[in-house]
Amino acid sequence: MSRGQTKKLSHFLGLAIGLFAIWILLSGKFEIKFLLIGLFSSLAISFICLPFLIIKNTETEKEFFVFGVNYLKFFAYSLWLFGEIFKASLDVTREIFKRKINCEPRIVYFSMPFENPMASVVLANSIILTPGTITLDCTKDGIFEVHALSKSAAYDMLTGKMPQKVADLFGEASEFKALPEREVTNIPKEAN
Amino acid sequence: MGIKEILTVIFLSLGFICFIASAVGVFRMKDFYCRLHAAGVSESAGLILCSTGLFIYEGLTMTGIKIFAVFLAVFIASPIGTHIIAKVAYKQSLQVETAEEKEAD
Repeated sequence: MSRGQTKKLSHFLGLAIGLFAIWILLSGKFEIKFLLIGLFSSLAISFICLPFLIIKNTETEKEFFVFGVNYLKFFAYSLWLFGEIFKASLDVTREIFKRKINCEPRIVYFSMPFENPMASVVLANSIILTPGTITLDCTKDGIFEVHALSKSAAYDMLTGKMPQKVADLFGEASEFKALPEREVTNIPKEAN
Repeated sequence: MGIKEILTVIFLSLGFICFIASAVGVFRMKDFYCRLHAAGVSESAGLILCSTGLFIYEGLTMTGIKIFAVFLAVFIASPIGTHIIAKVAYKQSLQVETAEEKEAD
């Protein structure tokens, strides 16, 4: 068997085992009949769905498996993300309960081209999950448009710490670049 | 009352504070995008705290793992809704209020 086929088989088996675990979790029954039904349906579903879970890079035609991440690294990244979320939530909550709200929203741009489309998805999702920043758009060449609630949130975004973490997570060697103004343009001066 | 209950109460109360903060924020913020930021507090921090509290109360049972599964599903799916709403508003060129425009007025 070639290397690609072995990889595909391992993806198939991993997906089937994951689905079977969900079946057991949701049914909670351990009789042979139910286990067999679950086993066959999870095998069938992973056979049908595997082609949809392999996504292509639009330019290089290189294929990536959706769940092809190092899970330990991903766990560490999630813990770091939780910390960031709590810090940012505290900032936003403080802003909300001020007597007079004087936040300074702005749009910032940065470019972070990834080869793996999942990396862009994870980065965009993490940016939205952190209160105070929302991804407005993410183009094919890896330009992110981020709406930031306050000056400090925008500044944190432009230091490029989170994109770097995502690049490390997916083992990519892309370079972070804070972009100067485009169209609407409101990047704070000290951030450049 | 054991230590488990105390931890549960602490986590759930912190979660409720997050939910209240985001409800108040949605009313108080000035424009559409800022309101989205306020709503984000409940769907990330509030969700993490509440599900942690419930998970501690249940322990590592079937229900506890189900709570964790619900947490994962909401945690992965909720940013997509926020992103779609924000992107549509942006592409329809809903004006973004910025700090510099305010200074110019």
